[in-house]
Amino acid sequence: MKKKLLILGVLATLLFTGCGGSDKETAGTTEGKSKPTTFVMGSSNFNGDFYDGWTNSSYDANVRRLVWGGGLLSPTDKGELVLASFVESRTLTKSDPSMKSEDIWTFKIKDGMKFSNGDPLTAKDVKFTYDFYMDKEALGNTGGTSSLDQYIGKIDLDEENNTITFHLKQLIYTVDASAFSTFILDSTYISVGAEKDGITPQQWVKANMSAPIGYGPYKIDEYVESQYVKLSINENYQGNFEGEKPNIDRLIVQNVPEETKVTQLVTGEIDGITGLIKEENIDAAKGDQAIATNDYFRHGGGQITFHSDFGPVQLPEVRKAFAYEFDRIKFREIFLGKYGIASNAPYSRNMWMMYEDGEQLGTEGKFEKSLTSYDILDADGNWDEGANLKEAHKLLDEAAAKTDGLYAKLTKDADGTYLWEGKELTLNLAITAAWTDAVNLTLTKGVQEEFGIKINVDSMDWSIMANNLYGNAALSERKYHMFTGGTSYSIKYDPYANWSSTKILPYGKGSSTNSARYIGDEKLLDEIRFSNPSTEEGTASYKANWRKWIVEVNEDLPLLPLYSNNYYDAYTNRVENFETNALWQWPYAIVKARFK
Amino acid sequence: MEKEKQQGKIRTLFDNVFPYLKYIGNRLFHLLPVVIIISIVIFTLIQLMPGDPILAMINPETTANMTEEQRVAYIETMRKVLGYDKPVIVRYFLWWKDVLTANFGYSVALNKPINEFIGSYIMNSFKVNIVGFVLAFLIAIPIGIKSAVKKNTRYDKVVTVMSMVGISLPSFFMALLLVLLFSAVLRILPFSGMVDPRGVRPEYVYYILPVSVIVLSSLAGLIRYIRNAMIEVLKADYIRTSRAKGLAEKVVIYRHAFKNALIPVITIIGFWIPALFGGSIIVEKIFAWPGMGLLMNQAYQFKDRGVLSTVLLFFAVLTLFANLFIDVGYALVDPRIKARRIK
Repeated sequence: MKKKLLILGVLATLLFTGCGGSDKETAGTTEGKSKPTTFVMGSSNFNGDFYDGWTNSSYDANVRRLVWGGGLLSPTDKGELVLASFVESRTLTKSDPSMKSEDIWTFKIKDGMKFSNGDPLTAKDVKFTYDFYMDKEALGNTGGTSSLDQYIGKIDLDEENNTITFHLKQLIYTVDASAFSTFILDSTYISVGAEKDGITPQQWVKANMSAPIGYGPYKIDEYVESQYVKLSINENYQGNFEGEKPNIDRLIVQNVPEETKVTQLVTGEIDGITGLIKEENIDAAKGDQAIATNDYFRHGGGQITFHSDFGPVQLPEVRKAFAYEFDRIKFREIFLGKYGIASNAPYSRNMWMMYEDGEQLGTEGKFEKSLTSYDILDADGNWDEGANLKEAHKLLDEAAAKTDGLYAKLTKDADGTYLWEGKELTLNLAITAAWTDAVNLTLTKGVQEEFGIKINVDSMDWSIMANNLYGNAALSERKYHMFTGGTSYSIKYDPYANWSSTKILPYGKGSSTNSARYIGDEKLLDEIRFSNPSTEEGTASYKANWRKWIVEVNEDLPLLPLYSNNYYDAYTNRVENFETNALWQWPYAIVKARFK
Repeated sequence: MEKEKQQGKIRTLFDNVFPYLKYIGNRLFHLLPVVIIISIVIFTLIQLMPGDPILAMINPETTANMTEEQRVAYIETMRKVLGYDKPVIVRYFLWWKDVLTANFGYSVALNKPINEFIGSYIMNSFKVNIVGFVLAFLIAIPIGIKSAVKKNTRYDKVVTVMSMVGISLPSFFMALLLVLLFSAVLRILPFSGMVDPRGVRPEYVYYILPVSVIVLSSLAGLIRYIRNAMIEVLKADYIRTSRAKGLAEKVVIYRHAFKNALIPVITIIGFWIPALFGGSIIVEKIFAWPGMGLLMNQAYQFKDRGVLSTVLLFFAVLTLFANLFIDVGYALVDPRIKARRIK
């Protein structure tokens, strides 16, 4: 018995001495009661791909933002792009005076700039970076991608004056985001490594993906796969758009499981988590006095995309009637709880183009109010089934009454049943597993019968649905009229890439980025795309035409937005000035943050 | 004289061990066609999965700004880089070449060669599962034996009830319960991970919760199994004879009864090992433990054909080795089987 007790005693001592570590240093603290020096940010798992151009994980992207902070142009907290702190000036000129916009962009790099490892940061590194990404063959052979060569033609390097000149191939309104946000690579570090290993710089970067050298606020000290990334302040950082430099000495980005992340925050195991969307998680964070939160609407959202070139949804009336049938308020309650809104076209409340002077970003401005909402509400703000039904039937009756072209296929029989090519009007909706409950509980059999549009809902794996949505599936398999999915908008939005008719391939022949397969006003898309980015008139023209396009898409409805999450970023209230928003993610905001 | 004695010992050892080695070698040889057939089944099934792996891998936004020729060229380059431009049969042999040279192909989800990361995932799974497995047996054997010896006593009834409770509790629930108690309420153990990024807690404390879940979720079934096996053996005539001979109860139980009860236990050990690895998906997910279970889960979600093939082949080989272990184990504990198989 004594022996057993002794063994138990030894085990308990071992256990508790090992577990008592949190007394010495918990998240956000250091020794005893002195000022904290380390901030632990919880994250979903990252791949360790800390260079741009290969994989697309947003968790890897956060580490990249910490390491680089931006390209020649760097973001602001309002979603604008301004000269990076290592760039002295930018000069815009025209190669041909008759041209509408300036197509030669020259950047002067400040002298004496350094990467985090002390290597000089000069125009030579900028040239190296663009050559690196524009060498499609070398990059492609490592599985990397870049679209820089779409925008940039000749590049002139003037080493003596530390300047670099870009001759743009096409000047589009969003060229600053598309071509000049690229993180600048350390040519010395990469060239020496590649030469030593006898491989191309692209191959060397691919092989050393987890150990990047940048010039941003932090540098990586240690990376342990699937566990954490440890970072410390980069002493050579020149500051963000406001000249701010980091105050928190060390950062740990730690992989935490979805199931326990909020409890880990509340118990102080970690200091912050971002992008909370579930009601129970948000309420738990908001209900804890030691936790502060920032909230904002997602710069994107979830939607149902119609294949506008297939079956009954070729008719805008059918698409809109379906929109009235779909109770988006009920859907959002089931899917998200109380934290979410819905837009009425492909926009977010973080887009400046949505607002008039004096209106507040994130609110429902005048322009948004002018758009058609496909949820008719009663006086109490609830979904008005009768009014929505009336609107849906009005649209279907109008379409059934027409006989020209495709409209001849939609008819209404004596019983009042809507028919497509003589059969009951039926739409096939492809969804992924996560949507199943919310979609089925919204589109009940009763609702379908009442509205006269039968919906077949098939739940499937994402990759299979994507094949159908993007048009990679064989033609003989084509079955679905509608698809669920999500979209995130880039910091500067050019609708051309996802809405131009040139982005539609014949179904079954490859991936179409215009996944709605919608052909709208092409001229309008060009007007938006080719607005002059360097003048006030250009900006005004971009805004006016973009709004016209939103009105068109709202009216034709090739896509029905279902929700835009109300994201919550939660963090310990021992930190102040940690102001995140949809366009100013935590790796940028952490620079200004400090422990109280 | 001393030298002869030594040689004699070595010869005896060799005579004892050699038949086993020969048997194992023989069985391994016979496993080869099984492995080949399994590999064909795995490879074929995975190739039959719907969807083009290259198109599924490429984010459409990546190619959004490319011209049609550039887009096609890019896709074809990716297809070539990853070897998907070759016929299926050629890909099968290339896959085997990769497996035999420990390359294992390429992960389209992680965008890196599988051999760069598979080793650490296997090791991580081994670490937590083997420790859990050994602990579970060390605890279950004495409890199971005692429960059988004290059949129908209060002790046995308590163990039986606890076992039933243990069998009924799903491992994810047990994991969350332990996290709640030890990490959230008592705050003495870490929630997840394998190592403390702040370098304060020793590494072994990170094993406590995942290992505990594995042990607790295995324990109930094991105890029931050992108890039932022992009860059967304790009824045998030779046990009665041993007792009648006046042998000490401990000798009767541990030397005579338990050795014979080991035969069904060995069967369960053999099947337990692959089941542990396959069943650790939930434990690895809740504790952010980067092991084979988590890897398989991710690979399935992303339809990562290369990783799925490798992981499934790993499980298949593990199962075959577990079978081999069962056969050798039988021979070790049962002289009748040894006489029949090990010559």
